[in-house]
Parts: sequence; C-alpha cells; structure tokens
Amino acid sequence: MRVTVEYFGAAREAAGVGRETVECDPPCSATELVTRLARERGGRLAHLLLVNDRLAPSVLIAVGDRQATAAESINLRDGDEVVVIPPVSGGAR
Amino acid sequence: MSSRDDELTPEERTTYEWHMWVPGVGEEGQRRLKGATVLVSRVGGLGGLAAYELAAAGVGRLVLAHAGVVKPGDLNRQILMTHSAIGTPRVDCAARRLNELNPRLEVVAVPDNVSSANVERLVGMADVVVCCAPLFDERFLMNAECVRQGKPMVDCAMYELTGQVTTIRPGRTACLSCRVPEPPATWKRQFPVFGAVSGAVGCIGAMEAIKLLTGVGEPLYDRLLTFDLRDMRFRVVGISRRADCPTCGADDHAH
Repeated sequence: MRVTVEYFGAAREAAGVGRETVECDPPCSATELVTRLARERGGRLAHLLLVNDRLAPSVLIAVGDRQATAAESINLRDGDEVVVIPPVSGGAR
Repeated sequence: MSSRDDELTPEERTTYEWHMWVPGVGEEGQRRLKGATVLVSRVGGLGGLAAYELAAAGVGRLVLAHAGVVKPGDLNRQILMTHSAIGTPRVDCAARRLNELNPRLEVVAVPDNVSSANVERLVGMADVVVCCAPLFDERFLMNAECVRQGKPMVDCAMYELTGQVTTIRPGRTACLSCRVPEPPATWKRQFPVFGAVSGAVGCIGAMEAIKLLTGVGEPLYDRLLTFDLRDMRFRVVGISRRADCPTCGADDHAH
C-alpha cells in the first residue's frame, strides 16, 4: 500500500522533504512505519526521531488528525496520511 | 478573574466596539478582558506579539517575565524591543511599548525569567498563562505549576518556519508532559527563526487567551495546531491525556 508521510519542524529538514509517498506492506502501524523510515534513512532523521533505536516518546505521530501512539497502534490503510511532529520550543532567549 | 472595577468607560466602549460586534463577545466579553490578568512568560518573538495583541484587546493587567537586556540579535523578531533600547532591560522596553499602545493597561514587569523561585507567585497572579519560553525546562515548570494551581495555559512554540500551539485545561485536557514526557535531547538553545513566524504563533496564542477569558469559540484543548509556513501546511492533531503522566495523570486537579 502507499501512504503519505508529512514532516513538521526539524523533521522536515532532517528528512529532506516536507511530504513524501512511501510504500509499506500491511499490517503496519504509523509508529512502525516512522521507526522503519528513521532507521533506513539514518543520519539526522534517526538522530531526531530515535532514542536507543526506538521512536522517541516526545515525537508526536498522527494518522490524519488522530494521535497514533505505540500503545494503541492502528494499522495503516492505503492512502493514509502519517504526520510526524517533533517537539519544538521557544521564541526568545 | 480580578475584582477590580471592570465597568467600561465611554472611551473604552469607543476603542473596543470593534470587538464587541463579534458574536458572543459584546460588552460582557470586553469587561472580562478588562478584569483579567494574563501572565506572559518572556516577551521575545512569541510572547512580545502575544502581549501586544492582549494589550490591544484591552486585557486589564499583564504580568511580563523576561530577564536580560535588549541585544541587536533580538531585533529581527522581538518587535516590542527597539534599537534605542539596546543595553536596557527587555521588560522595561516591552512595558513602555505596551503602554504607548494602551495607556490603561497595568503592566507588572518582572526582570527575571520564570524559575522555581518565582513560578508559584507569578502563576498565582494570573487568570490565564501564555507560555512562550524557549527552553523545555521553563515550559515544564510553568506547566506543572499551572496544573498544581488549576490555571489554564496556552503553550506556544516555534522552530524555523514552523509553529505549534495548544491550550491546556489542567486535569481535563492533555498537558505539556502528556505530549512531551521528557525533554528532547536534540533541542538546542539557539535555533533558526523568522519574526513573522514567531509573531504568527504569538498572535494565535493571544487569541487562545482571549477565547479562554471571554468564553468565545473552542480553545485548542486536546489538540495541537502545527504549521509550516514554508508551504503553508496547517494541521490540527488530536492529543490525549496520559493516565501515567507524571505531572497531571495521578491527581485530579479538575477545575
């Protein structure tokens, strides 16, 4: 199946794109997909999204407008939009 | 809300009639803004805009907390700061500029950042808190104190051309620690920023505070607004309270 992945904040720069379409084999949850992409790409994306090779707890993953946590993983369907939102902070020093 | 006299003067009625035409606001909504105290933590790129819009909206009292003096590197985004104020305290410059816009506004200018030494007192003064701190430690501290005191908090953040805003009703909706259970290891103190981006986030944060105070609209409870102005992608993603949240999960702070 094909799903769209959208990257926000520092994830966009680390992924090199704001939005991309990727192939994945079902069954696959959003958190599994993002973990796989971060491992495959390595480099800055892995540094930003993974802690000890697992998805960092502070990274928000959503399918469309619904939060997708590892605890309640929802299997992706063809055409889903996966959203990757790392935490950001601040506007003053 | 504050117990100060919040009847509108004829001058205020004239100034704010543009608000009072908004369905659901009216004179009662404007009186609530006048009677309110909002704490804005830091008045830089985000908080400066939030404070400016709240001053323009007719909020009665603003508590501003921000340490340090105005530096040339502030002036790309911290629009309450002026070139002529370089080297002078940021909160003093901010207070002066806000009172130029709204001389009726009472400003409590605190020349310190929010810390464990002052957070209880500063949050205690406010009806609503707008958190615009750049560092996670400070945001977590504000979040925990707002949960403890049951004060609503608007959480604003930005990075490069992206912004995030959510609004927290302690004990009812996801708090900062529910979403970010630990400080991200990758966050840096200095980061790329455009003033138009931090300003957009600050204005949205101000509108959330205005909604909380007037009761108009639906705040970003259990929702995170995230946007990227590079290609104008806007998303509102649902977020959930965590039963095991160390800050708000164990206790019922419902207000």
